Amino acid sequence: MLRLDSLRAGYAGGTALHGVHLEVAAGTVHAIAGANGAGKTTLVHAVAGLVPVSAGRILLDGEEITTLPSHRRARAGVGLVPQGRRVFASLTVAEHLAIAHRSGRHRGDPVSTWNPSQVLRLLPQLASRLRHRGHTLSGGEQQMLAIGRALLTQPRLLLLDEPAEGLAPRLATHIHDLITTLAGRGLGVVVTSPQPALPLAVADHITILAAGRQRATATGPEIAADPTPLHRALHHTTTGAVADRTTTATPPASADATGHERTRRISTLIGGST
Amino acid sequence: MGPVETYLIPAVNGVAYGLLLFVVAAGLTLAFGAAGVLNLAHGTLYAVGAYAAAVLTDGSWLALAAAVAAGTTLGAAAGAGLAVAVAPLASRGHLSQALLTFGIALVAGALLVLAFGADDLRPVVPPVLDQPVSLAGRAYPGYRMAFIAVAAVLAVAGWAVLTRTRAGARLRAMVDDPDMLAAVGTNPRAVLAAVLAAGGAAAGFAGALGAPIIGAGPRTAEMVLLLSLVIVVLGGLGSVPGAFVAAIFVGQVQSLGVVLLPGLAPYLLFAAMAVVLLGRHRRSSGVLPGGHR
Repeated sequence: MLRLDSLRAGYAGGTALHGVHLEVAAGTVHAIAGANGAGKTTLVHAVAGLVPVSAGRILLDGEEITTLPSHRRARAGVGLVPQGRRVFASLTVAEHLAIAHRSGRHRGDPVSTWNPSQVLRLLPQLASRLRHRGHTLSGGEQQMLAIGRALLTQPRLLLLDEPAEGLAPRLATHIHDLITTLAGRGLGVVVTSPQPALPLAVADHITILAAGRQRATATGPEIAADPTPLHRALHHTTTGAVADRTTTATPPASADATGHERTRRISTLIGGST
Repeated sequence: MGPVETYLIPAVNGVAYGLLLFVVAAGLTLAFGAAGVLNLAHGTLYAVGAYAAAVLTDGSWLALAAAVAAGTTLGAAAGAGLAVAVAPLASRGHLSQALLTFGIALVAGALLVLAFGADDLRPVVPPVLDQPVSLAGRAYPGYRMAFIAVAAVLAVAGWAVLTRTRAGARLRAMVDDPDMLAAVGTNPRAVLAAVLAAGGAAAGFAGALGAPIIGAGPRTAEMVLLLSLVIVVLGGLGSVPGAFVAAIFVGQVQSLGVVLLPGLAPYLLFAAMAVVLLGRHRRSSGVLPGGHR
């Protein structure tokens, strides 16, 4: 679905991302965790086409999109739920849905095609707010709108940049349930978070970024067998000892463990640093 | 002289003048709000429409219609051409784009003088429109009344497009956050081109119909541009309702202000602009519409 090959990217005058390798399969959730300034947003923006890529490649279902302008990536199937939601302040909820809605692009695609009424069924909070403008919505409503807006572009890949930021724990849990639902419908999902334990509840894979570099790599079974690499990488980032390595690791995904059960276990694992 | 003649007539003149400037300034403020393009050739598009009216009109309705069609079409084409011209400079910043449009305006202004001479030209409108109408018992130029009606219809139609259609929603979304508009699959450059073309069409239309009010001449472009810029600044960059209020205000300052405060009239506009800018500086945010990061 999504593949990043030694991706380097950054804003004018500096590289914020130094050679990141990443693979996200359809129907899976890949969490990117790391402290502020670790390069999470740069990574998400590079995939969405909002930050120029200086080296490396971005492949979406085998097709290279590295140099496509942002709007063509959206049409190719990259959906963005940005940090801070960034809903259109002067547009009503209904207008957000209307201008984002694109139909019939991926006919025959396993990912379901979204229309506004399906989005309102998934996000019922928005239904009573259709005539309200973006700037009058609560933080939670804005987050739902940002997700609905992205879904209506018929994404194959959904990028969520710190979707739980500033939300009450109950809403954050709701967002994570939504992520699980969407991945279950076949979307590839990338979700970032400053705290590793939050996305771990829903993630099939996790990458720890620090100072724009990956810290280490592991998969679900590997972590279940030996949590030390994740432990070490998480510990380094969460205690602020930012170093130059990255961990990709997968939480222990035992079949019967719920997301919250997994969060609890990971928190215990890493010494309650959430 | 009674109060009607002293105040009402200039006030209605001010409305006509203000609506004319609003039709021009709306395109200017939208292009700036949507993409940061300060189109300094915008006054020239008005002048092109005004020359079209001066050259084509002969007192018949057909000729007036032809002049309006020509002014609108030329304005739209020139606006689209400006969009193509400024596109390669997008990465070099707003100043480069503004300078390019300024250069284009200077060249086009010189060409207009070459083509039409340095004298002010007057259009010939159909005689029916030249009949005075009665305004509170006094004779008032009929053409101005007709212009107020047409400009009001155009303003309402433009407002409806901006607030009721999907295209209008896309444009407002671009003023709010162009990156996010691109992220939902809309090409921001296409939106800018559409804004410049539509704004150009409005300016050309205003020039063709407004020529009897602000006529075709070598100084037309710079005067219309200057007043439009004042309106855009007073109304808040990118704000169409703000531009409307500011345009009516400028129209009143230019007509009623001259009657009420003849000694101060030349300074009123820029004093008002200074007051607005100082007040806005204190509030700091809100001058430039933009995304929420």
